[in-house]
Amino acid sequence: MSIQWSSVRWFRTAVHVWLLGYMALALPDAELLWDPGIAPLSVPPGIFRFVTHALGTWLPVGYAIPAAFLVGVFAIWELIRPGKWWRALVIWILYTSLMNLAWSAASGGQQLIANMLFWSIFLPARSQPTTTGALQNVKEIVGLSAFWIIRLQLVLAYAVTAIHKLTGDLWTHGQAVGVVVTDPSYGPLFMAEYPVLMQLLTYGALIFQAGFAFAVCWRPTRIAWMVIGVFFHLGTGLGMGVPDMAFAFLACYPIWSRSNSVAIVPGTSTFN
Amino acid sequence: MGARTKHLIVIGLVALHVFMLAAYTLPSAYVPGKLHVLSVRYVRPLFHQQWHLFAPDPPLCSCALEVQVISGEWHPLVNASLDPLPRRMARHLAEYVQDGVAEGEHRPLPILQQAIRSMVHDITVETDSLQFRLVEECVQDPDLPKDRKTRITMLEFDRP
Repeated sequence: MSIQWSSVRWFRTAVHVWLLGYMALALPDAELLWDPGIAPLSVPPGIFRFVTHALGTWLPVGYAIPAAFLVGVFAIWELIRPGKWWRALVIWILYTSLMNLAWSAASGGQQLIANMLFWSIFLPARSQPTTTGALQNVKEIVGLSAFWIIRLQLVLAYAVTAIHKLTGDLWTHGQAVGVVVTDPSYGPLFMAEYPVLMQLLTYGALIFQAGFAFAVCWRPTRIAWMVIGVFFHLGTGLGMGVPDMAFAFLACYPIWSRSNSVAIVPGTSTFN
Repeated sequence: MGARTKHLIVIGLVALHVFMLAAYTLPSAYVPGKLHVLSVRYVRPLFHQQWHLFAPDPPLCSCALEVQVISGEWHPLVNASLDPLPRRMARHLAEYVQDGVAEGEHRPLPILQQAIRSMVHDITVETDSLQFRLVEECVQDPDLPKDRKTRITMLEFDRP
């Protein structure tokens, strides 16, 4: 159940590279994305709005572009010298505020990264020296909790989307991918020429998403599922025009890259 | 504090968080009402997420907004070659308008009207007298998804 440090290192790197990619995608369209005239400000009640909607509460929306540059600079800083909680906090506040300001361009992938960035604030970048004391105990509990929440967040995303799809008709009848690729907003249309392939892809996507939670428990299935996942997300990201969504999931894969199979199977945890 | 105690605390915290996320994101039919309300209060402020892209079913009707320029031609709200984020903005706006049209409302909400007008600034600076329409392409038979029927709805906009 302990933290896998190489997983953490690769995960942090991948998430910050995704952040840089997102900013590179967003900045050329900054005037459109962060224009409150196009996406009117929607600020929720409660005190947390000051962190999740900093732009629009205490920070003027005109600061969106400098905020995006700051996120980029801090992301590069995290890539070079990872592990400062205050830097992670600034990145999360600014990224989440930018995402919420451009809510009409938001996606599940962007929300996934926002959640991962939040828990990264509490996730140590490297093994801490073994000391005793109440503060050390709290740090260990918070760090280990953040690590497992990040892992299970990815699993939950796949499991929940599979359950939603299983409640519909088109997925269970093998027709869903055919409907999506013929939708002019997504595509690619040429795939509709192969109805059997469409049916296989529909059931394949369903099995992949429903099976992810089980596949990560054992090394061979975990590797197989992640290889399938790379093709699945590259296909949907590039073919259907949702690259930020696709690469957000792929950026989270490294958190499962190293794992002790025995320790995560319920009832056999070693508590080492 | 012993290692076992620490691990039990971690398991408790992680299980509680994941349980609340599941209650928030699962189909509402599977979650008791009171638990869902509780999960909204816990998840929404900091951990909001939704996992139902193309679920429970992908939409049978595609939707796009078009604008009529001075010459009389109809153009998409955003250039198809634009980056994915502006295209997604235009698609989400179209989906909001489509929801209204499905309920018989051909006049989008004022904030949607403002957003739609703002998006066509790169086509024309004169946005007050423009005409907009919703173009849907609807699947008739899910086994033959390529055979879509086009449905066009003219939208009514307020004078600014």
